[in-house]
Amino acid sequence: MKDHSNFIKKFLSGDTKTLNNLYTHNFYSVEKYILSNGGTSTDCKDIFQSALTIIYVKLKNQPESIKNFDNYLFTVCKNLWKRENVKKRVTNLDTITLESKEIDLASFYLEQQQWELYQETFKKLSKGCQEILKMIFNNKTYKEIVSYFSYSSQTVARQRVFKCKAKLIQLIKKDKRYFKLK
Amino acid sequence: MELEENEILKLQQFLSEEMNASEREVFQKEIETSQKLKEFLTIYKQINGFNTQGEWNLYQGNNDRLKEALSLFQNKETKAFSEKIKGIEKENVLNKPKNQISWLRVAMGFAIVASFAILLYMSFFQNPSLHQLYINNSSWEDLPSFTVKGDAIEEQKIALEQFFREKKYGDAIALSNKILKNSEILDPNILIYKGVSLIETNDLEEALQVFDKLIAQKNLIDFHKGYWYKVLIYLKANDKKNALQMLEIINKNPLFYKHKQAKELLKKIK
Repeated sequence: MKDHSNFIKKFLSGDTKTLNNLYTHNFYSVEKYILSNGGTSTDCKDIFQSALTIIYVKLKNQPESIKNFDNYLFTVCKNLWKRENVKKRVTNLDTITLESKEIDLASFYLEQQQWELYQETFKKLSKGCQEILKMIFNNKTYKEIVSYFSYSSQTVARQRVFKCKAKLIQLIKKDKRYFKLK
Repeated sequence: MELEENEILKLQQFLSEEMNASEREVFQKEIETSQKLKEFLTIYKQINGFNTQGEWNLYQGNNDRLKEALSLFQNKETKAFSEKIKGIEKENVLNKPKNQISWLRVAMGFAIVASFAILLYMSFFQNPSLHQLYINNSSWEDLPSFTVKGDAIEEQKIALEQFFREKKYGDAIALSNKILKNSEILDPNILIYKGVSLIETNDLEEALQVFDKLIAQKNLIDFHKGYWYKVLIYLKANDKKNALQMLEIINKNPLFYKHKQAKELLKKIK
């Protein structure tokens, strides 16, 4: 395992050996993920580059914020790829505006922070709420949820899901990071 | 400002489509004039967006925040770093040096082509081998990811994932044992990482025991994942009888992990 703080210093200084090692050790797994999820080689390179730039900005502003660099890099690449697919779906090709690369990265920078806030807050929910929401997010039907939790009806299941989401929203709003991202 | 009880009830009815058309129209007007209702619905939509497969929330917040973030990417230092990365990429990705990793990739390329040729042959003249089915179905990319900061145990989980992705399976197994020993609550994902690491190191007997332990935890939402991983073990071990037995169990339970894949595999193997 890396000497973490020394590694971060070298990364931020743009140390060539450190950056080379990042490519050697991490590019392949990112490439494998993106290629197996409908991407091209060009996509892999763009996403990896963008991820490193995002992480650079994050660490410049919050040096202690990443505990495991390689895991974080992979997660950022996955999220960037998800975002890219959503953008392709929602972009109206007739009224496309040329966004600069920096605007795109800045937007993702804020989106990633929101995502992290929501993931961390989710873990503060009760185990029961976490379980039922995981089922909803994995596209299980209410019929399946009723069967699994032995609820008396789908109405009861829907009420439980709503209460858990409402609790999650309440916790998110209480977090001071929420106001910095609104 | 917190929502009132009746507002929460109306939100629930609105989102569950329990309101009739006129109630819906009235409530929509109420939403338009209420900041806290709008805020609730925005976050509600974002929660769904971030957690649904294939979805992501594009930033629609405050423009000042976006401008502030933009300045971080437009400054000289970030631009210089970005240019440096482009140069490094050219060295590593476009002009791969002739080294061991490059040789491995060339060898893998030939292996993939050879495997594909064998697969084609086998699809014409015989069914795919159990081992081939194991290779086709053992993608570890959808293993859970531990990246969220937390206490010491959470930090160890992050390290465990790191070991696994670096293919340091021995270290992954040792750390998973440590986490399991020190945790008050059994995390099924730790058992999964341990079991998959054991599969990778061909310690299939012990891997079976790990997944039997997972299956025994019927109170855990992910207990049924154990059946799928046992399928993979039996495929790797060329044990058709037990692989079929596990597949039948998954096939009977639509809620179980990889139910669709299990159904398809059953057709291929039977």
